Amino acid sequence: MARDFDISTNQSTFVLEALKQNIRLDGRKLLQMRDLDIHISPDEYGYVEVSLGKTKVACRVSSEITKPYEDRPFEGLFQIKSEISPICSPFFESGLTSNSKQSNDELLISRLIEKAIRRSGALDVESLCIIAGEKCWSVRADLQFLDYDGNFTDISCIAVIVALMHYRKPDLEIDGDDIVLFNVDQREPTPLSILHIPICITFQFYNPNGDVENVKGDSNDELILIDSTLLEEKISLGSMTLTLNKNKELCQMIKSGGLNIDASVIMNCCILANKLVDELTDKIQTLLKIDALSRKSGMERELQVVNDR
Amino acid sequence: MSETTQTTKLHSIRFSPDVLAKISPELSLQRHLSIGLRSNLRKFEEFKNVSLKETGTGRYDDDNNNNSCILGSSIVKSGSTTIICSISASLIEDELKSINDYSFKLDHDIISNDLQETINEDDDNSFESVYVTVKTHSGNGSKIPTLNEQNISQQLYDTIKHSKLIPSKSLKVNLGYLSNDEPTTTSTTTTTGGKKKFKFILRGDIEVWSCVGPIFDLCYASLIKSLKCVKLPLVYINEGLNDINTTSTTTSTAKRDLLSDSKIHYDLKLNTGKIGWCVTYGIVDIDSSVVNNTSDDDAMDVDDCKKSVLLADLEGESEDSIEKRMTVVRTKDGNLSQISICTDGGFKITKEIITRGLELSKRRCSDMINKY
Amino acid sequence: MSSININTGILEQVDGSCIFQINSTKIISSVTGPIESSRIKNEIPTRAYLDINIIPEKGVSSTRESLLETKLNKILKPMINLNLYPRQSIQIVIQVLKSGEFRDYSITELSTIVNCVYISLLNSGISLKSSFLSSCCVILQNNEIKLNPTIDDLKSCKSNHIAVFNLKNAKTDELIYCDSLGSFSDDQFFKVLNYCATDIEHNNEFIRKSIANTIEKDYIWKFQ
Repeated sequence: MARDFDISTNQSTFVLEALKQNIRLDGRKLLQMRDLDIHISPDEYGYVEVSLGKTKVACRVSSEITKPYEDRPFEGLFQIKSEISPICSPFFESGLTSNSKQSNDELLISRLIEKAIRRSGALDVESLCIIAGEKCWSVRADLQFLDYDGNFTDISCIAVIVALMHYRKPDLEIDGDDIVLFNVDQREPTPLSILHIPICITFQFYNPNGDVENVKGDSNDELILIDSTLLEEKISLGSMTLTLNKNKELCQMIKSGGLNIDASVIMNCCILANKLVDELTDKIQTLLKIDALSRKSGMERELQVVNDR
Repeated sequence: MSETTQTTKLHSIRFSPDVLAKISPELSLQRHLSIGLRSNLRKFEEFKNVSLKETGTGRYDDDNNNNSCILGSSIVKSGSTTIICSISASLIEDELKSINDYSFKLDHDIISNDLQETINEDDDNSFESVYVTVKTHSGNGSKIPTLNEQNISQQLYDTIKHSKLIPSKSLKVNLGYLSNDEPTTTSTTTTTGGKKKFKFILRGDIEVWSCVGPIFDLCYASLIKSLKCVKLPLVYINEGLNDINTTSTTTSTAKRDLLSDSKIHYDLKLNTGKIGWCVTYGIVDIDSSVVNNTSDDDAMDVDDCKKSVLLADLEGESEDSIEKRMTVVRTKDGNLSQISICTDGGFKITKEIITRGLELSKRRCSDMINKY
Repeated sequence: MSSININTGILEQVDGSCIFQINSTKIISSVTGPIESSRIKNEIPTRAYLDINIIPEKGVSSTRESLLETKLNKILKPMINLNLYPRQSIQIVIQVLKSGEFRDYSITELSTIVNCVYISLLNSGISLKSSFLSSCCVILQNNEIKLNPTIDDLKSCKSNHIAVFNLKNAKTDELIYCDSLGSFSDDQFFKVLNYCATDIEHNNEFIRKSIANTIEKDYIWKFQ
């Protein structure tokens, strides 16, 4: 369906008025995230389903051995597929329709994730090299957007990074010119080398007095909120995405146009984002630890078999 | 306004049969079938004549043609439809195989014997297919393959793959070895135990001119015919070239060191028992009451005027509109290799009609397979 | 014994949705419609246009997916009352979450997709002509028929089959679609169809129950 998601004026004023009184429709505070739920598939590596309120995303990481690019013989390949299908909302069109507005959103999201994870060097691509110029691992993350209720960027970034951290590639050994690949039963597969965990936090900006007032007038009392729902995202006047990691490093920030914001406000945003990133990183790491414990290592499995006998 | 209210007479419009076939294919079909005729004057279950020939333009068919990359080809004619199929091949490193072999050599002590056996069995059981591109020349000049063409290509791939026609073994490359001093002929006997293993990948290009109905049958026939006459080249490592590549600083691809011989070749070994023939039927419900609604004097039974018939080798616009179809591929050993049936929400597809279709295919397939 | 897991109406933005998991195959599908056709060429004057999209587990869609889409279209067309929605579209999107088979095969995927889309269609309230379900099986080397094959069964099987039947009074009534590949005899083919028909009747009991459960939940305010 080519039409955009329409919001009535009543609806948008209602939401704005509520925001002015520090109330959001789902009862959250302005700077409060929805509940993050991460489900790691128990029977395979590298498949996670993440939901943030009603927004749902799944991510699958897979790998294969290919030839590296000619100009980068020491690097493996890493790509992220982020195609938004109409499954999450009929407003996203299927297939290649370059001129629709939705495909712009899609492009924006995929660029953001690309920058946040690939360009920030979260995955060490040099560790994917097997034989320089001949063989390397090609890792791909397939994002599957399932349900859309705002804030695709943050959730998909989390999904990709958790899937990457959870994924194990088969162990291998180099024997002369040949690669010896071991299957899961023979040797414990090895994790990817993840250098840091970038996490995106998206801020939405509103001015209850309208955007003209913001430029001309003196009242700079913008409303800032994080983890917006679809409705909030649609009436927002500007947005900013910060990508940080636990080391308090800013990997990426993007604020393309929209409402003019004081530089000092952005600093405050950074500090807030930092706190959130710490919480999220801890949450992810505990989850992965629990998952790792639930999976017995190969040695233990073998011992188990012996014990059973 | 008064003028329009005066006289409006409804004339029945008459269309010639070919126009009716275009604007209302179902009605045209029903009218033909109710008097026991098809628009192409064939009987309901009468197949169309098909002629298959090798084109003889392949790399090893003609001495002057040694640079051609076509390894086998065929031309199929049926009515006004002409299909040309040509098969070419490329070499790739047989990665998975070498990986598996070596892992088992190294970890031999860990792996129990029965596991080893199953792997060997797998080796015998793996089969390859042909990557096919189908192009129908319909005059619109579009370069992008249509959905129908894509589907036929994928279907051909699946059918060949699952019919177990081409064993993986026959596509493995036995590397010959050529040094600069020796003449080519001696190289045939020496096969090196090179560590890298290669295999052929077969590609088929099918071009269809003036198609008048479903073309899957004919495409399949032409592909099988071409595969039967595929001659694979002898491939050898060129020692001289190899030296150059290893000394140069650029990363050498293994493929560059390989040459395929322009004269020496061998036939592609197929699983001959699995050579098949494909027939497609349309299943039509003849509902005489629809067509003969004027003739009320007929006191026919309801069962009598509502029955399904099989139409063999659909042809023409009116018959192309039939969506209830049945495709059967039967192989030389009498077994079935593919059946697909789909319905259109009309009458039930009965067991009788499927059995009838299978019966018919038995005769037709053994006929055609023996003939070609 | 196969384990089926059904979750209906999980997606917010679409009219009907379902997650269907059987063994190691997991599919999510959504149905939206009838909606305005996005392209003029998809406006068919007498009936609705079926816009089917299958997104693979990993990578981009290829000819394999487009063949699956065509097959699904053939199965769904006679089952939906398309005449009720002239000039409109029914958008069906299928995302394969876990494939559970190699790319050379498609039977377990297709049969799960058919079942999943059927429940999504029910969930969306689009008018159907009849109930329909699908089942798949393989013939193993020892000529044994195995329903719901695993990845290893597929690797070593002689032939693979999928069949779709419609249901009347909880009994399989009519063959809607079948596709068989491999090497098998005529008798085996009919045997396979019977096997699939019984399996469908068996699964239908469970699927009906779970649909009844969802509907009960949907109308919870009415009963209380």
